[in-house]
Amino acid sequence: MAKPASTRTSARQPQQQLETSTVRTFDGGLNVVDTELNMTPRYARVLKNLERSLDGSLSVRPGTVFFADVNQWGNSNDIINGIYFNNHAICVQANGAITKTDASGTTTQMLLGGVNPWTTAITRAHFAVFNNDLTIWNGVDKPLIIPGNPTDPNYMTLQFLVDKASLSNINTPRGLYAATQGRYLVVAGVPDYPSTIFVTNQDTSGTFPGDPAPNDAIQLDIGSRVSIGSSAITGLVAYRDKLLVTFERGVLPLTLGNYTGSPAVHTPTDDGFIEEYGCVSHRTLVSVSDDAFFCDNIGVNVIRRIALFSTLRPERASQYIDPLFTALMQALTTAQVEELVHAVYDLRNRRYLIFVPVISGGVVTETVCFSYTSIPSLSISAWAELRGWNWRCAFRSTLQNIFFARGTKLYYYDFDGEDRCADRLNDPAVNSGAGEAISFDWELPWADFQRRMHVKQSHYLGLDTQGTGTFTCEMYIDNYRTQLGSDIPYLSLKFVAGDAGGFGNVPYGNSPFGGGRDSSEERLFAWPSRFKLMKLRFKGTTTKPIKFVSITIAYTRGSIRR
Amino acid sequence: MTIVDDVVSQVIYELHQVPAIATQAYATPIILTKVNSIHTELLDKFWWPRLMKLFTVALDGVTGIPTTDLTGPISSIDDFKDIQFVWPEGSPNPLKTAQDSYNPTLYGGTTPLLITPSYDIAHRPFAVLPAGATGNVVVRARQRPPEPLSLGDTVYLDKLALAYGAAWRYTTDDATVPAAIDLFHRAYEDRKKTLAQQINSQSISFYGSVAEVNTGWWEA
Repeated sequence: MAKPASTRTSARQPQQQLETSTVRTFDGGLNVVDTELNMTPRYARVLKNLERSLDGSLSVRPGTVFFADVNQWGNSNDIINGIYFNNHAICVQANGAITKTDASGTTTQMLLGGVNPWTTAITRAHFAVFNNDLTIWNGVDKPLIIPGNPTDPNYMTLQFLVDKASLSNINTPRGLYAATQGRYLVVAGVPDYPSTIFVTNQDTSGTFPGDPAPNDAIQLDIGSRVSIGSSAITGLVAYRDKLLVTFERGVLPLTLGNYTGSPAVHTPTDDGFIEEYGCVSHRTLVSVSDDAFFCDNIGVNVIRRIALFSTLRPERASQYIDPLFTALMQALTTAQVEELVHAVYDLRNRRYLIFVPVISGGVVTETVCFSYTSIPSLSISAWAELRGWNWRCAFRSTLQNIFFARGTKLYYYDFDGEDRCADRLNDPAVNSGAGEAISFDWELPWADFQRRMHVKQSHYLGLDTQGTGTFTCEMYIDNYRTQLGSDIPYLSLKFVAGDAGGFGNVPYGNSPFGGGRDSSEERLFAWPSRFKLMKLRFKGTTTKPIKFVSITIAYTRGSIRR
Repeated sequence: MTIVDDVVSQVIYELHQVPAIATQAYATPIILTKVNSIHTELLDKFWWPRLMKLFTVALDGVTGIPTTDLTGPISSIDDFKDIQFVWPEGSPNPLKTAQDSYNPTLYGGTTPLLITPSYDIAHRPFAVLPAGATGNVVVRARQRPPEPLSLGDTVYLDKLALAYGAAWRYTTDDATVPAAIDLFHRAYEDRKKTLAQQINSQSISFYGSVAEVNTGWWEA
């Protein structure tokens, strides 16, 4: 008996229905350790200038905006470090000069007796705020203080740090590192005493051992407590009720404020040396709530407190990017690491940003930034690589913006630039103020749609994006990523992010060409390919914001025969 | 004048894809392939009036092959299947096609009796039997637009049939919902029926002795 016509029609239809697969979780971040053939799409194989945002999207990092140039008195020496203090950016230049810049960008020289108090060329300077006073240390000269209490007669002027009773700094150590812990200012890095910490008199910043009584300041050599590696102190940071003293191959947590004997002597106690979680640059030490971040030559370490027991537990935070980090660090000398590797914490976005210089011919050509978005309560720990920068230092303002220094210029992170995304914007020396476009690159791992052996046929691509920038979406198939060193994407289309205007909108007007392929368009973009493995890549150069929210591919499954 | 670009654009629209040839950088070549496939099918299926051409050619009197090429403004005639009718000049009766089992040596004289495929000379895809036939014959033949079609080529066939057919083929590959596939399939088939009726709507002379050569009115 003849089959009904409808049956004959359906016989021509495919056995497999169209399926869709959506990727919208990006909280894994950059991962160059695991094989990309066995990696979920929450991780990225390449992630340059894109970060996992608090809203769950993957966003092109903000740009930076010119703020001020401290070179106003013929002093073109580079800024070597800076800090935000009392509504001012305090900067130390390589010739020892110190400036303060207010919120309007007005810069003032900070002189002592009409001259720079530090007259020698320096490569390092560190800060510690104690009881609302800023202390500045360089390991060579006597330290300085900028009082921050408005009732102080020397409010926001530069002074030498002295014992307030004797007004002498003869006993003040020429330390390189300083940190405030509890009611003490702790100093280390004194050239002749590399393993010694100097702890001030309680509640006093300038009173050290040898100064007149009352004085419970101490000088404590902790070198013998270091079980491996050099006992030279590499950094100090306060971590809750502890002082973390770091060495090249470990950390020694100290508890201050413990007094023994009669008369009572300040006797700090330690919690035991934590081996193989060392710190090679004081400038990378950042303490945030339950985390204390720092780096060694391999990657970034974090000290965490175990709940209930208050025990400190070290972890390697950078395990997914260690090869990239290590490769950059291995090219640096110890001095370069101490001087140039630095970090800052972005509280607005919960990110630890660590900068590693790339040096060519003795000149820093770039500082590669590794950005670590860490929100333990949301199980988010995502790394990204931020490129195109050359910052000598970075610091955070009271309003939680980030300032950067390059040469003698200060810039700030453009968190709130809603329709712009360019570096060094408004700097007259950079493209007449137009700034530099930001190049970004996001490469996902290979995907098999959970059917490794089956051939898949993709039909359509759907993107949820925000912003107004343009980007190119590429697709590689079946392990072919490059050939003879050249990229060989199987498919490649240029899109514009979802908030961009098209026909009838500025700047396109009523021209018939609109504004490109709008990735928020709900009609279909054909994306035809046949593969067993595929990977996507999004890249481009933009001066406009772009956020990737989700990627969807419509596909059908086939047989096992490619 | 419709060009292929218009057909592909209509298919993109029918498929609810983001419009524009350039936008659909990957769908466009696939749709163009489908359009070409449907174009060939429809080209063979109908004697499209815009493609038909009358040629009057002389026979060579030796091989039965015309002495001049069958070349029209759109294309030359290269395939016997594109020959609809061949009349001896002045005759109302078209020549019949010789069966494959006919022995051509059995036919003699100079009066055209039958036609048979011949590909010895380009653009002259038939020969008249007997081989010694003389005089002129009138040929009605179908020109074939160059294939595969490119986006800028002129479309001589029905735009709607091409678009529905290409959309049907595309959705079949898509594995989209069966209803969508059926929708385009039915639209395509309905359009072909309509075309058959339209092409057949002119009054036809029922001259009793007119014989078909190798085709019906509307189907090859």
